[in-house]
Amino acid sequence: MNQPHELLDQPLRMLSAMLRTNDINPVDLANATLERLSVWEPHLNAFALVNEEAFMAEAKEAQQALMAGQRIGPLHGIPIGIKDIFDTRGVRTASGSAVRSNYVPKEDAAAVSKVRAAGMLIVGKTTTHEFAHGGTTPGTANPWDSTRIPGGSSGGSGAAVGAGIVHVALGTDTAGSIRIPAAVCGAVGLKPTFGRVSRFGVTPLSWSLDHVGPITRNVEDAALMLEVLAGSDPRDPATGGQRATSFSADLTGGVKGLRVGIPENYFTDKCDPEAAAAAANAATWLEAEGANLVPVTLAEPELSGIVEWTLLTAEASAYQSHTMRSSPELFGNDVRMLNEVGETILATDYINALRLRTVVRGHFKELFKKIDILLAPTVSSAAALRSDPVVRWPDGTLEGASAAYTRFCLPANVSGLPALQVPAGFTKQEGLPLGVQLMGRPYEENTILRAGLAIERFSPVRGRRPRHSI
Amino acid sequence: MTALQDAELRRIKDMLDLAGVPSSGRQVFNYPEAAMEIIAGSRSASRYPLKEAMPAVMSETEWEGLDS
Repeated sequence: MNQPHELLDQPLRMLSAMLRTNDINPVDLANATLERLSVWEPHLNAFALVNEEAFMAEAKEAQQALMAGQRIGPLHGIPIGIKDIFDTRGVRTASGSAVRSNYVPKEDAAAVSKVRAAGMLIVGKTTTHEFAHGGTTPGTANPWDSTRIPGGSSGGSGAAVGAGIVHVALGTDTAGSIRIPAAVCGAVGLKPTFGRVSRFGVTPLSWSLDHVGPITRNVEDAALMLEVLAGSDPRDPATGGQRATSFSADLTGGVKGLRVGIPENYFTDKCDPEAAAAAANAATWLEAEGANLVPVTLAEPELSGIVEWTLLTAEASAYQSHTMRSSPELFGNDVRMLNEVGETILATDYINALRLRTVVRGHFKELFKKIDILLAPTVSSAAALRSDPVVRWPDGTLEGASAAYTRFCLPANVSGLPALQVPAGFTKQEGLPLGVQLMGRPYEENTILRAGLAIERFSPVRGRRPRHSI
Repeated sequence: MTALQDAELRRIKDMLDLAGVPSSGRQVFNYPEAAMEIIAGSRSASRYPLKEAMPAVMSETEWEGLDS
């Protein structure tokens, strides 16, 4: 019998099998989760809210169901963290903001309903940058170094998974908010294709750029979670016309003959040499497994940033327009500034940004005729200091951490293409995680997951956990 | 701050006033560089030669013919 805390290091598939055969039970697993939480949380502040009583009650119910021969779903009895912008029935959902401090939803978000239907147990709500509108998640620390930021906006989810408190946490990604915290916290983060997972019940940041996805400890778990989360939902019109896919079953295909695009521009500009080296190493690992590396040049890559920030700030401000007039003082300074900026975006510029988006997507369509996946660093540098969240470049320029982290992620939001962050190395001096992202064709998450699995096998981050672990 | 940036900030103030966003505690003037960078980016969307490009509407059918 494993020690309870060792259970938390098993992949989901293994845990699920052990639960099915009664080798472990949901109550032991829940206790192990709370034990690890008690050790880490004073250092991390990864959770906005934990209701231990409700969590343990759910675990006992799950155990009784198993004893009665009932299994609610494929992940019956497995704990999960939920980013605090997903509505949770009867549980406060503050979106990291004083604006929503008393908001208690009457209904679960679609993704929350799906994880409950799979039998998962909600440990609590993980912290978020206010309204998911930033990449640093102030107040939450990185498990690899508590003086460093956990990224954002799904910073609590990244920190909780990186520390091993939970196997999986839900996140949202509008400009990299799943991939960024996963990258700097040493976890796997999957932003599915736009429309793959319903956003119903998730507080919007930007309707045309928001995505829902999982942060997990490994690629196999990400595939399993996508199976749970994917599907059409009439309450989110973007999700029409899905095709059923078994992402886990497709993982075994390998990467032989896969054409891997290696960008020679954009992702090479203002990129820390160690982040670039992690991507170069990942390319050699894929090549060793039989993939073909194809050098590529992105056409007009600067357009993605123009489209992203025009659409994001205008849509976020539209959503917050009432509150910006009734109680603007409740927003944090940085988010209030962005909301004010969004108020000044001209309608003509917004519409032309949508037209530019067509151009960007056309460029990606052309690119993906030559390649099957694109490999690049996820973020341009490792986790910045919480006390000084900026990146200093060799030319003397400073770049805010949110801007520096979103730069490489946002093309996948503008294009809607699926993107997977996989841990691929550590910085030499500080030992901070570095990640690579794999972008794929629309609705071909199975291809990037397969390539991610190949990278994970070689990655020095595999099997490593941060210090202070129990 | 250049005269152009100064003029742009005045324009932002006027727009916020016209839109009815309360002036008390405004933050855009605390982060003028970040604010103007985003606004300048949005203006460049209208300067790009777009030819016949239609606005992107995100839906699965847009990707038909690419996924195999």
